[in-house]
Amino acid sequence: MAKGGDLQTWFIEYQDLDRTDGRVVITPEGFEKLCDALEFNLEKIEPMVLLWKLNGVELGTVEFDGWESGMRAMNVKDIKGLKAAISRTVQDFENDSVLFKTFYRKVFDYLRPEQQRSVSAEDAVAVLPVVAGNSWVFEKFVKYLEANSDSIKVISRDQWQSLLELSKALSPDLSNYSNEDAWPAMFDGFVDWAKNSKPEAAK
Amino acid sequence: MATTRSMSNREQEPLSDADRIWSELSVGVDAILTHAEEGFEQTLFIRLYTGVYNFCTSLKSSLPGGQYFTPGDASSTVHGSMYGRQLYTRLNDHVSQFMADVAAKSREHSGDELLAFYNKEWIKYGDAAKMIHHIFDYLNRHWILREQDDGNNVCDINTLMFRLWRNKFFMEVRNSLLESVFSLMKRIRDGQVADLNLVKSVVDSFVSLGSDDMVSGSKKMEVYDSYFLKPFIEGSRQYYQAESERVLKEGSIRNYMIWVFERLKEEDDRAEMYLHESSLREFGEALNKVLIGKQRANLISEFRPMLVAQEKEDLGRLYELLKRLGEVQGLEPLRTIFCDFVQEAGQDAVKKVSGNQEATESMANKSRLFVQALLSVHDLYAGILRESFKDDPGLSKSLDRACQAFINENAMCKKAEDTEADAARLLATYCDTLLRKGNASARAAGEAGASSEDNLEKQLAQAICVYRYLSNFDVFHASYVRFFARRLVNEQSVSPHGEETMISQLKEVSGVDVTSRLSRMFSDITVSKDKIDQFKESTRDTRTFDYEFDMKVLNTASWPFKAPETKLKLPAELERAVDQYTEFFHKDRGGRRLNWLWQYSKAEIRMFFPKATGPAAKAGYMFQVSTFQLAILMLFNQDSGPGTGYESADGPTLTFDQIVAATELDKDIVLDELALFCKARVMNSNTANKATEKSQYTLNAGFKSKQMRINLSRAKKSDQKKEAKDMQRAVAVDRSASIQAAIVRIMKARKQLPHRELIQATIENIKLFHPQVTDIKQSIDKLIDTGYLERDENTRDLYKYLA
Repeated sequence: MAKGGDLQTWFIEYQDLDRTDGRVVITPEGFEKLCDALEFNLEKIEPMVLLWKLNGVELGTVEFDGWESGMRAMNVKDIKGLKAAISRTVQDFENDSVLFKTFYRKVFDYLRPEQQRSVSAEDAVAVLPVVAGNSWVFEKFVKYLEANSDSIKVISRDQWQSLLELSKALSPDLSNYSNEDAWPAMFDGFVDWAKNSKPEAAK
Repeated sequence: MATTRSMSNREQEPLSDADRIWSELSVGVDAILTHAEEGFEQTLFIRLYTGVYNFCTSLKSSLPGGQYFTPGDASSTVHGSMYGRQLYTRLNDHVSQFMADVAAKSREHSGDELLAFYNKEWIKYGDAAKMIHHIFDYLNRHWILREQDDGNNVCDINTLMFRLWRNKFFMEVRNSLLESVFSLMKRIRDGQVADLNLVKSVVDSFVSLGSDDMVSGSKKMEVYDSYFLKPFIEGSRQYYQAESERVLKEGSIRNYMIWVFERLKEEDDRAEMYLHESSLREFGEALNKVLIGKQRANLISEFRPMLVAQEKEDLGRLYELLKRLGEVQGLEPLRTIFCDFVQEAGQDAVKKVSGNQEATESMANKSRLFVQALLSVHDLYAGILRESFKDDPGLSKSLDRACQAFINENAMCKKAEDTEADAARLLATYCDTLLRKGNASARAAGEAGASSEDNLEKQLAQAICVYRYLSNFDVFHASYVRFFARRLVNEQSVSPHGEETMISQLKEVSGVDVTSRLSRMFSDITVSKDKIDQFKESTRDTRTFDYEFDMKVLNTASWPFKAPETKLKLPAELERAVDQYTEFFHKDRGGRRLNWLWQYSKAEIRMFFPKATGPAAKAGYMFQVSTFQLAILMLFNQDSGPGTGYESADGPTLTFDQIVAATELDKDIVLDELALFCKARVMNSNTANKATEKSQYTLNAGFKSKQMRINLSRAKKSDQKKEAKDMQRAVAVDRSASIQAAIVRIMKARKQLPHRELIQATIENIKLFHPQVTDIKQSIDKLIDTGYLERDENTRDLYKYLA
């Protein structure tokens, strides 16, 4: 456990040392170990924020350069500091929507397989509640994806990003949505579905 | 000498030279005024003219003229000015008196006589005024002109004369005069024969009396307007108010219309004759209002019944009457009713036909009945538009709107994208029935007596008429090109000229982009014919096969055909022809690849059945078969087959699997064909003549048929359904591509555009079909995803073009 001391030494604690390709990375196993050390619940938002703050390259994968510049940017030298910094960031999301937007958009890239432009609906369903759990629009959208898993297989970047905007703009009774507005075509189906499954929605 | 005389006259006579000259002048003036029509000798004119001149010039040193002297004259040093006004005033007084006398004389007359009197005096006076104006020319050119230059309200002699007529005569007698005019005009209106020229002349005189303005030149028509026109219009209005009530009480509204039509025509003619042209509009509007405007609602409510009963004459009359009320008041209501009516008629016609038994029998029948129903409605109301409404542009648009509505959405064609029931597809099917051989009944539905070529042209023209109204042009063309391709490869065109006519008419409506493909297909066929001849020539001595072989080489880009979906092992005989032609082709056209479309090709074979009797024994039966069928049948040839040898005199017995293996065809296809052969009794199977994958097959040696030629290669229903689905998919794909292309074009030009405007621009940009907003949105999404567009960071609904 590195206490104050070298970022590099600290990095090595979690680094994947069994590699043969010479890459200097923390891989998902090590990343999980780090989350444990930070007492982060893997089903909550903190691990994802951590990855982002450490300039991760893909899910559970952090390279040393990203680690170093991320730590420096947070002005962190040890576990305690790191935990505090991440928690602070999560709190900041409440007030700083621009910050959250940047984070949220990056999550898409983490979910996206390298050669593809889009994210699988399955992955979206798994991650969206973690990342934007307390928004009713996201909740409903995830249910929509689950209900239509035969027909909706992927989420595009534009749909992902627009979803955040929708969550800010859509009124609870769904009355301010129009098919003639500039939302992605898929949202028309979503709102229709949401309107028809209203009975249990909060009045 | 004059000085001496006048000095000696000073005490005795107030009559000066001025008076003397004037008395001569006044006599002349009177003569002119009373006898202008008789004409005068030149000498009188010269005398009078000189008198005026003398009065103005040579009296300058003599006593000022009695009661006409004004102190200002003495001090005036301007040549002739002193006496200018005097002369002017004397003339003015003199003519005033004359006019007063005329006025007094006029009171002896009344009614038509008064008018005649007035008119006679007017004409005479006009000439007189002119003459007097000339005689007093010196005055005009000097004193009067100078006064006018100084800004004084002095008018020239001619104008003075008319002013005097107006003030001293007309104003005095105007009431009885106008009363007489109106009375005469009313009697004429009631049908009395009278001299319209008299009225015209009198009314003209009012115009000439101009305005109350002193200065001549401004042709204001106050006298005419306020004393004549306004009362006349009011009088007319009241007259027709009463008359129209009477006519309506006595008869129907239809009679009323006829009456109004006639009376308006009379009034139009008369008004043109005796009203000033500037009044025609006001007068016309007043009449329209009282005769038509008041009954507007009643008249409009007659429109529909007239349409139902197709009463063309009444419709024409109603149209002309309401047209007078203008676009908004008169024609707009007609347009709405007409559009709705034609729509209903169209919907009814299609509904009636959709329940028809014949319609359900085949697509050909269905399409024919559909198009004929459409045409019957369109032609009927186009006829009414032409004959009763004189091709009025507004009503023509209404007809078009109605046709567009009922042609595309009706009992047979719902909006759902079921392309079997799409108006465009039905129309394309109809065109196919016209252009394909073997449909004599469809073409015979034309006019008796006309040649079949003429008939065909007429029917094609009618088809184009319907074509213009389609909303899904792209579906039409997708269908048409497929039908066309079939006709060409199967050589089923009933008339090449007809095909060309159709293509050029389509080009006229939709442009060459759409039809260039059809033209290329046409030329492919022509070129292929030449090539086959060349092939035959070049292989005359070296041919490796001994049957007729006809080839059509089609350019992949233009034709709606795809490679066969099944493999096929060609019978050896056929392979020889294929190889030789391929060699020829590569020598001729280089290294392009030939894809053989066996699914579309056919063969004619002669089959000899072992147990046949009669003529069939010697000549065999002629079968038309598809190439797949050929491949299967060849296996049963006694010289070929997969080497199982002869089991019986009927030839080889083959199992399903053997057939599949030998032909390499898809199992489904083999099964279908075998079933067909069994059903046609060409083959037998050992499973009660049903075809299964477990059966064994032999030729039916005892095959018999009344016909010597049998066609086994008819298109299958399942194939047709599949083709329809393929076409639907192709159309959807093309639409998506068209929408994306349009969006890119628009965004490239505009660089950035808000959402709604982009949607609007896209809809306007696409002519071949009506893109739905959802489809446009999906295309936008795709273009965002592929990096052509992006959303603006700050303004969500703004799109930016990414170069």
